[in-house]
Amino acid sequence: MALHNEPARELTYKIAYHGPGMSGKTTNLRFIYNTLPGRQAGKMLVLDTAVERTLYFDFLPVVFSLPDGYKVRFHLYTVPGQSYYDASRKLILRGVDGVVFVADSRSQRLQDNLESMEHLKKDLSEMLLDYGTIPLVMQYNKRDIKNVSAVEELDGKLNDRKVPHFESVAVDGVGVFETLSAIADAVTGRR
Amino acid sequence: MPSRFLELKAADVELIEAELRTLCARAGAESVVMLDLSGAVLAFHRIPESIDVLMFSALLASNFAATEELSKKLGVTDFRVIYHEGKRQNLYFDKVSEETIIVVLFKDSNALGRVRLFCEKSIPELAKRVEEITKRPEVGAKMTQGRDAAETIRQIVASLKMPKGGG
Repeated sequence: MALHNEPARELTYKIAYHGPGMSGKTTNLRFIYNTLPGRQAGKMLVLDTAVERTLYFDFLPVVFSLPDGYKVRFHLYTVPGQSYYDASRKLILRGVDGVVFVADSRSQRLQDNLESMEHLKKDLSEMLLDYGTIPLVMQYNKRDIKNVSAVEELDGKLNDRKVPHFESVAVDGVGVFETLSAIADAVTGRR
Repeated sequence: MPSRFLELKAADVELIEAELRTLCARAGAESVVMLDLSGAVLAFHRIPESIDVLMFSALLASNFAATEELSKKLGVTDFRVIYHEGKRQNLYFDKVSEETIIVVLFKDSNALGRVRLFCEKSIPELAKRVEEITKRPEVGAKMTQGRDAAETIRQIVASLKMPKGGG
């Protein structure tokens, strides 16, 4: 649930990046953090393991100051992708306003993508959120690697709601801001 | 479907901040913050500038949510409090409503019982206000500022001039 703090003139939205382990969720946040100026990106919190897998979550607050004095904040979170983090993953979805599903395009990860999408549906339901209506954007990442599934195949198998989808190479920033823009449009009702 | 909104008015912030100020003084605490379990800050009193309040709140909310989940798995009912004992400073978490908590930061020289007692005294007033806030009609969803910020991100996309991600 978004927060409208009228006296502080602030709107705050919570967005979660979901997807299988090592699909590039943290990489999306790192690129946003490294690209936006300091006045727009706050400190990035990364809680990861020794092998760079997200242990609990990453957090990046992004803020845009508007000419009328309002501040609009997007709090970006990643969830841990590995299935053994089932219990903690759903907790990050508490009160979420929108979800970016980051799929790993490599053909050998298709099953992991499908399982992760099923986890998303289950986790949202447990957090009393409706998968059918929550703002959602799909990102098909790692498009620079050989042996990737065709976008049509990924979209056919993962994107049952036919929400906007983006091809990306998050490590180089390709598609990262397009994805952020689309989820910002969706949670704010711009689209 | 665009987001639903929790509407915080000036009177809410004044009342909550006054209650947090009173709690801090009575309990002899360093700081206190009230947040919802999605990690959003509702109000705080005397958080030191060295602490990034957004990051602090994201960690506090997730810490509470994880312990709450653990207690459910263990079959513990009516879970509402966490006490974290540090070397010099301690943290005390207490539940205000289903979705909101307060977290008090206090020195080791202070007694836990005192903090606990005055949290319990402040919580009914805070809970009453949270109930009013959650019943309030939403204004945020009708405001244009969220959409203006989304437009700003579109302009960033255009300015980056990167190879386009297909959509």
